[in-house]
Amino acid sequence: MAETVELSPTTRHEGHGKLVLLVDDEGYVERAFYLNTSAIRGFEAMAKGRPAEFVQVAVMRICGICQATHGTASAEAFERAMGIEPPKAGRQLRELCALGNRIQSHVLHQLLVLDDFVEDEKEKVEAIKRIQQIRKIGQYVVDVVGGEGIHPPNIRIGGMASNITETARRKLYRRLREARDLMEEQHEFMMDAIESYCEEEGIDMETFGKHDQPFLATHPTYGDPEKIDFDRVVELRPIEYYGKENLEIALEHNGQIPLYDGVPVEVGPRARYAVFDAVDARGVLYIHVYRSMETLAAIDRAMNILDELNTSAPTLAEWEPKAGFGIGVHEAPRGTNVHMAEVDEKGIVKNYRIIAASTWNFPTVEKAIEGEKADYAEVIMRCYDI
Amino acid sequence: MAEDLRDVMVKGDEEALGPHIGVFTARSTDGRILKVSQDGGIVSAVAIYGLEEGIFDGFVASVADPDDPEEPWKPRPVVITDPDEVLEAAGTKYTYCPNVSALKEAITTKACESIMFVGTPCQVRAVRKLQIVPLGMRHFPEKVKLVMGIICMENFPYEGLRSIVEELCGVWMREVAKFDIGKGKFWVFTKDGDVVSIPIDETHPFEGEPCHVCTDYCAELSDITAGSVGSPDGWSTVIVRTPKGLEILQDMVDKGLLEVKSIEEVKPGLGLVEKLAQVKKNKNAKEIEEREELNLPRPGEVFTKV
Repeated sequence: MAETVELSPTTRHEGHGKLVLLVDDEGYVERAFYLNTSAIRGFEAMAKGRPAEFVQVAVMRICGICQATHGTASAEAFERAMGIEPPKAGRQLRELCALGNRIQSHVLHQLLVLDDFVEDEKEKVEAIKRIQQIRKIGQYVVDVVGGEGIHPPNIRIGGMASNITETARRKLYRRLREARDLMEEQHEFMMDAIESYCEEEGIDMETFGKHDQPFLATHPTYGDPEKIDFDRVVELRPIEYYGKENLEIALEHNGQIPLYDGVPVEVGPRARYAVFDAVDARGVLYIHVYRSMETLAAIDRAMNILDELNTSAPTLAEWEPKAGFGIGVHEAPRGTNVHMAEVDEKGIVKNYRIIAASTWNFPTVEKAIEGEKADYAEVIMRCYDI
Repeated sequence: MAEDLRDVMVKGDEEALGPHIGVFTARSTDGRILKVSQDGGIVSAVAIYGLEEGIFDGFVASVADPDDPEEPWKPRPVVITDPDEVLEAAGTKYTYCPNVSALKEAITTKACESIMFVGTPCQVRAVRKLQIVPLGMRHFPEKVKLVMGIICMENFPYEGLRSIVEELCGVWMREVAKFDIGKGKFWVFTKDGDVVSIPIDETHPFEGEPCHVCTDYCAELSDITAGSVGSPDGWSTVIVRTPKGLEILQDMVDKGLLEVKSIEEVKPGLGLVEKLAQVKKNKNAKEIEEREELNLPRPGEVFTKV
């Protein structure tokens, strides 16, 4: 007879969640429900009837950790809706700003999962110090390029509000080099920590938390709506997805559940490596590995952009409102972030839809937990940085 | 042997001038600065020295274009990172310029780490407030290295200044080469060499309203205050308030960048600065009282009243 175990709230991740597990007599999870218990804030409803410029700034407030991605996806959606082409330097700076955000968000997650893998207090303190140094540099990039560390106001419809100076470019490059060294150390540390965790717990990394869901990613560092076929995306209400027999559970899930081809998909660092580098590592702990590798890659890409950037080029396109519909996609630290905007001829929003990155992963987390011991449920959930 | 500023400086009335280490009179020794500066060119000299020595990597000031097609002489705030560009900002603009707004740009897209700021007493206060409560200005407090204030009795909104120049003085804004206030008069110097002046009393109706509740004449919260009052033409009165300010000025004297004199040797002297500071305090204190009778908040105490 299966026993029901509730973990509420789940801890050490960014959002708010609750795990409901049906556990068999041997302690293995038969069925898992991972419920998003964040309050409904109604950004989509708030956007309706308001000017595009306002909405693009407002939606950044969806998240305090990765705001750059919402600002970028929203700007992209409006640009496509109104046929605006941002200048090259604007696009580069936007990518750079979001990369700074990715660097700080990825390592922040390593801080949150530290307790899963490391016991030695001294090592923990060292790691936290290193992580905070890297985060500081990531935030510095957002500060300088975005004009503000949290909710960067320079991201605009049409590009970026201003270019950076030559001095700023030099300083950013120097700081990113520092981050590269620190991150290499941090990467080694994470790899060792995960490996020894597997040894101690007797876990096979290749099969632990394995699921067979497909991967979804659009771009290694930016975002590309052409890579998603939106005819194949459906968003289900929780009651539709979980069924009437799980009504009580479904009612606790705030938000919709996006499916691709009718099934849950995984988004995020591992998905990006799976789609663009054809890796196929199914053990769930590999997500930590790829997240760490992706942080290094983000630092490299950021330095590349700085190298290519023309600091005296224009960054913002002039535009006139125009009626239309557009989809903006940006690869957030946590996965594919989708904003859809429909505007009228005055640039007023008629309809606005958001599929935030983490929402894709909620049902996938359930698949990863199912079949593993209930004791590991939170460790598996935390691999996803929800 | 360069002079020791401590020997030259005198102390004035702190009640009128605000806390300070000492006061002296000075001018830049650089002819290029004196050609374009308002008086002794102290602010420009400090900015050029600081940027060249690497003490600052950004200088927040205001620049006005006398030939602007839309609004001639309307100043805009700028962040200057190149010492060669400092002189573009030289000279007083007798109208509001939101210098504080450029600080954000200085610490973000310009990535400045040590900033020198120059502004009117109210702007100096704003910067100090931001250093205590950096709301929306993260990493800002420690990046401001030097705050310079200019002596200020009152200021004019841009349209007010334009009315004074064009209606009262009868000079077209585009003809103006320099403004000045001194000897009880408002002066306009034109590009063709004409000099027009009107009694300062006639300009009062055009003053900005907020200036009437300000009791800060000498930018009391600055590191260094500079202004023409008290010193002869071509010289500036300098009030040193902090050890940091003193250190910079002393080094400039040692390097021969500043020519200094005791303010007791010159006319009209420190007495005038103290007198005018007291005039501003008394006059505006009365205005504040009148406003209080109307139940309007005391400036600076808006949040303490329930």
